[in-house]
Amino acid sequence: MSKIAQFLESLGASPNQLSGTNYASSVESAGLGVASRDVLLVRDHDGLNGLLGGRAAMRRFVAVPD
Amino acid sequence: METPAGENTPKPGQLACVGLGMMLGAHLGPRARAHIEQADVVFAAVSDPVVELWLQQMHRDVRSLQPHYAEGKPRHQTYREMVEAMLDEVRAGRTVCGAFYGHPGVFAKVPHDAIAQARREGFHAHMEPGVSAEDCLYADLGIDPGRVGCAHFEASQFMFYRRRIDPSAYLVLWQVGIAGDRTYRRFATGPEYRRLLVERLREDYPPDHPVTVYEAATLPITQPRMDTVPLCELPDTALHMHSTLVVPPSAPLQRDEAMLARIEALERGQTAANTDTAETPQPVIPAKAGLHER
Repeated sequence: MSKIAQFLESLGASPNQLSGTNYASSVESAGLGVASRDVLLVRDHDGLNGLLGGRAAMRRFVAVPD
Repeated sequence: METPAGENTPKPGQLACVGLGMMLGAHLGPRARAHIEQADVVFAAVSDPVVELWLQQMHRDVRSLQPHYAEGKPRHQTYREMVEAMLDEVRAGRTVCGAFYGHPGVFAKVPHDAIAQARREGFHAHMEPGVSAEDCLYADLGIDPGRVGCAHFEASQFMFYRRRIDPSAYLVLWQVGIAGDRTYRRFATGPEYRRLLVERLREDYPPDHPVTVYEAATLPITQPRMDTVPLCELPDTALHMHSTLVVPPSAPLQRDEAMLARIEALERGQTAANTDTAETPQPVIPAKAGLHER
């Protein structure tokens, strides 16, 4: 996970890595496993989460109206 | 105020509630990161499971608040338990960080309650703001709330109470996916609830008025959702807990001629009183369509 976490964090901090060929080459050069690379290349959020073993569902705060 | 240990002895336990922002890696500020890294224990309520995993990389003891949720469990109870989980550690003398998605003080009862309770008990407690979904909404949809104004309401509260809508301003309804819920136990309501919401909005907007369903992106590899549909189609549009409804203005700004005349009279009076002054400020009257852009 740590390598993917670092990679995602670097993507978040550096949006120029996210465009077109820059993105593909960033993913390819990140040194990730094949499965991670594949889900990242197609920007598969659920696939990435499944691969990392994240929770299937997340609850969010709901403001109570009264 | 008397503290639990008596006297005014400062307690080592303290609490910081910080915002992670909406997008992994994009919005975390240095102060929030420092609170996370320097805490003894971090409690997490985040919006995306991958974000939760990312947070776990930053600290050895990250405790998710997710297990406190349960289907059918009253929301008030869930939130009380979350507050107590954090406060128990503060009372034990630990430096506690609550890490929350977005801004910890926006549509988030737990951080506010936890900070208030910690302070009541004599502990140091602090909130560190973050980039909220509202901030992302303005950026992604290209809305400047200062242009014609923008009113925000929680969707259920908007339905339960009579609110005055100004159709010349933006209207933003939060938590629209759970609009109308009075059980405080559910995580979604259905199209029949949204039909009632649309009925209310139809008092001020035409049925074909375009409205936008917005969801901020939580990972840098994903895009925000920005789906525009006619108002009348909202009941059959897929919505989630984190969906927000943006209703753009349907009417132009209406000049308040009476108020403008009174202001002009004030300015004339000031001009007369300043006849000895060589340079008198010239009044700026708002243009018809709205305020001047900066």
